[in-house]
Amino acid sequence: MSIAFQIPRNCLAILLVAQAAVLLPHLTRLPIWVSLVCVVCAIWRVLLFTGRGFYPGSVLKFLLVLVAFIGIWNSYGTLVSLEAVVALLITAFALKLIEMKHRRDVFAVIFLAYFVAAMEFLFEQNFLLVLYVVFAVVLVTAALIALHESDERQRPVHALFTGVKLMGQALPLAIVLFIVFPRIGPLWAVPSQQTKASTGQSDSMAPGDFAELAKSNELAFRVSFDGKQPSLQHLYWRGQVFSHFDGRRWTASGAATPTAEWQPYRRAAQATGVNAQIRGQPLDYAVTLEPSQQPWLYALALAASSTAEVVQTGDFRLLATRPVEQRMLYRVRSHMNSVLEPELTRPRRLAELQLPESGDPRSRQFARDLRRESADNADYVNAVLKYFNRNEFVYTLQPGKLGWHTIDEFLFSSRRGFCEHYASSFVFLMRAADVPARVVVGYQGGEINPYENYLLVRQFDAHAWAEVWLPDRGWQRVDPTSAVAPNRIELGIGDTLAEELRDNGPLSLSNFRHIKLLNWARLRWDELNYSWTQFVLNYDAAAQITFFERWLGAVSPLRIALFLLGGGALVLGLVAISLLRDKVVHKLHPVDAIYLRHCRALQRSGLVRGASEGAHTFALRVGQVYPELADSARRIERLYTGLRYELSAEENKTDINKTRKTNKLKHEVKSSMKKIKRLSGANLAAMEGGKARV
Amino acid sequence: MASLSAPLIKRFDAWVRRRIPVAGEVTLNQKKIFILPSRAGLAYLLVLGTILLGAINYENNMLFGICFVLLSLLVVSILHTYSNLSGLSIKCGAAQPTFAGEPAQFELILSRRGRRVYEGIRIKWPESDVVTASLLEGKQKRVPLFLPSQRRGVMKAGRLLVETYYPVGLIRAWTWLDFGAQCLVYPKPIATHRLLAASSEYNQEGKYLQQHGTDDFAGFKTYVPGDSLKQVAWKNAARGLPLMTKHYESQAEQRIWVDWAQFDQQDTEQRLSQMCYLVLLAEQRKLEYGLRLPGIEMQPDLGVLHKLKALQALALFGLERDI
Repeated sequence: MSIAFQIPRNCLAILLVAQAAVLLPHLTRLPIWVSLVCVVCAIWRVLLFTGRGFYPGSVLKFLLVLVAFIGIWNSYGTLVSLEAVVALLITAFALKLIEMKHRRDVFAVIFLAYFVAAMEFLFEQNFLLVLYVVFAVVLVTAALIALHESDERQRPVHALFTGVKLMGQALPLAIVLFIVFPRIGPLWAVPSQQTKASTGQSDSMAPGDFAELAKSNELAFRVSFDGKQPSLQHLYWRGQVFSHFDGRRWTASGAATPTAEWQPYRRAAQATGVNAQIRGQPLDYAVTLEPSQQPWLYALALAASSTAEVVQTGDFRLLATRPVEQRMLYRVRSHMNSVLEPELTRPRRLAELQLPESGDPRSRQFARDLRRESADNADYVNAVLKYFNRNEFVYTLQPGKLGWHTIDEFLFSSRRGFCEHYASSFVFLMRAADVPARVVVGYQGGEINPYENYLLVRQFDAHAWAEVWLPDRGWQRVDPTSAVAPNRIELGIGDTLAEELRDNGPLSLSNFRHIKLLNWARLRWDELNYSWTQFVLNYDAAAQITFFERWLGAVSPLRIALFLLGGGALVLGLVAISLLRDKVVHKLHPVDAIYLRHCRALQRSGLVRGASEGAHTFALRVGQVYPELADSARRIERLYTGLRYELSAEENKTDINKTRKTNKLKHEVKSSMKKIKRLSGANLAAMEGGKARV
Repeated sequence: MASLSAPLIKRFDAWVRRRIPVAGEVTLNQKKIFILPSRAGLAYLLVLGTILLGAINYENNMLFGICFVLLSLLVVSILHTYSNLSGLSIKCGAAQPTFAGEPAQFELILSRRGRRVYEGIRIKWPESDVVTASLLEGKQKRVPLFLPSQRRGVMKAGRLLVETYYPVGLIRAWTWLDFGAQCLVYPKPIATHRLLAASSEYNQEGKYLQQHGTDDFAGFKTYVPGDSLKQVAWKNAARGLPLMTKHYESQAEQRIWVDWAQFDQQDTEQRLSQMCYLVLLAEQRKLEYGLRLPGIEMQPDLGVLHKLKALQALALFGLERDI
């Protein structure tokens, strides 16, 4: 008997818009054909609605699903990575659109829309995106509302408005839940992101690698110091240490030359510097690392961290126990003046002297000659730096291609290079002269946000430098780039290579750092994002405890339950009041209002006007009960009935008369009320308790 | 409900009866409104559960956030759905009698005191289709609700289900209202040729059934609603006299008896159905007719009141008289 379901027009209109809104942020990650499927399905749906299309049969549906699966497999090479799962869901979401025949199908599409909107957060969580997703979720909710609205509603405005209202009411409760819900660790391992097309450092270094990074102003991490911030030129954020060279590419030594005693990681919190002597004042700070899909963490030497899931490596770096896929906050304590690895064992020494069997003969010869001329290793380091400084080396992003003997060509012919060329050739020269050395890769410097007192480190701050081992002094940081371009360290790359950088991203905001207002807006925006990350995205079990201690006094289940119940009840109570309090049906006529005020005053004195008692009879009765009021009661009655019931009377025809009379009534009521007050006070005293005189 | 055992259903029914007793007009309040997640609401919770698992496993605070926003949406919508029923007054108008097999029309009157808007109110008798109504403007709205009838007699409409899923469909608020609504169902008319053959007494006058005799004027009778307007003495009426109908001799002669005894070879329902047909036919052809049922005899007469009485007698014959 039920009539074939037709999706309401408003609902379909909002749903299509909502779907587009939900899909939009995903599109950049999806293969182009998925977007096409979405568009085709939307058009198909509109045709169905106008009665021109046909619903797909079961064979066609099966084929479409099969093709979708094959397509995803083809595009991603797997079906279980996060991206593939999301792409599958989105394709299903689009296909379901053309299959909506019943109300429950519409529900399915809407629920999928919520789900797809939520999945966006697996890839990105910045403030702007969150705002956008909230907007999309409001649209989806509006579609859900339109599905249940009366067909008397012509336009989708009401559904949209209701959606906004509902979401607004839901938000405070959601915040309470967000604060209270216990943050427990992952229940099981989940498929992670397959690839991330973001800029960042890789696990090796070859000439030309850093030029790409230098063009990116993407944020790498933010640092907020507990105390005073050291000057920028001392901020060498160590990320990776490369000790193995194959003639062209530097890699970590672990893979190439496994050295058993060098491998074990320690929990950073317990690290007391077994291989190091801690010296100087500690420097405490917190780093908020953007997702890098890599495990390495950036810190100043000699770093230890109290954050869980952070371990310390033998080469004094910090490492996350798994790749950083979400923004990660870790606390660090650094002793910058410590001596790293004062004793170098023989196998370790050999590892840090490793060079390819052959290649770059000129450089090797040059190194041996220069070492012979130097008094000791420290003197030799200075001699090499002097060589970089005295000869016409150029610090540039466009070094040109290097051939087979990269070091020889760079040192003796091209002499144009970026930080990795200098670091690489410097370490090569050291090792060739039997001085243990290694390449360190990370970031140097950063930009201070003066409004919130933190440091912004961007991809273009990526840097490579060297560490040289000297007896008794351990690993010493040497930055050969500074010998060539001291500005790079003192002013940062933005100023040093301003022109070269500007060529590559006319729209990049960092290019306009000299425009005051823009710079202000840029830093403020970043500050907002930073606070967002700091307080919302990184809200974890520890932050939860801090919150409870601060606002609830203590972390006790009772207090938390009370907070949840109290907060929830408050929010819901307000919503309930606004919903269930019915507005007064009609506004009182102003004259009635004045008259009723008088009646209420009499009622308080114990004289209640009966439900069917007219103004005239009541006035008479007032006169009987309170003879003192008899005159004024009759005047009030006459004015009132005159104003309300003798509309045809000549004197009521003009507005001026009416206003005059109304004012008179107001005045009479006022004076009468004063008398009533006096009388009832006297009455009460006389009658001891004021028996009602009705 | 089908899975519940019979005594449980009985006890539940009794509980509902105590809670929401029979009433002429009901204003819905928290005592009468039941509220639970709908089937879609349960599916929605499943979706939220999945998002929550994702949030926990990826330790993703924004996933937590969206999960809680959607959960709160569900919670807030409980209030909205509730307020979409509460304060609504429902009255059930009397239903016109109908013939067995045809739907009876009940008229429900939804009204409100305040300004609150009621939207997507679904109304249904246990045996009827759902009707969706909204009260967006105006103080009240009349909603016709058709209930198919099966057998003659008094058809009880049962408890009226009033439910709503508005605004988001995730929560269902509902109530069962007992208006004691019932409807008289006449037997289903079944055509028969028995009239001429069966009533031997008036056999020779049977021909008058075919031709409308309007022969000799016999006198005036007071007008009763249902009398043919053609026979009203308009001239008298114009003179200010009460409405009268002219009565003719030949009409007065045409009396028939719709007699139970004529149908002895058939079962009761069959007989009543054919008698019903005859009553309607006689009424249509303006033949005065009497009705004989075991224990009941109605003198021959004509007109709407007579017809209704006759039909009622047929409808209730042999049944407990509880109208």
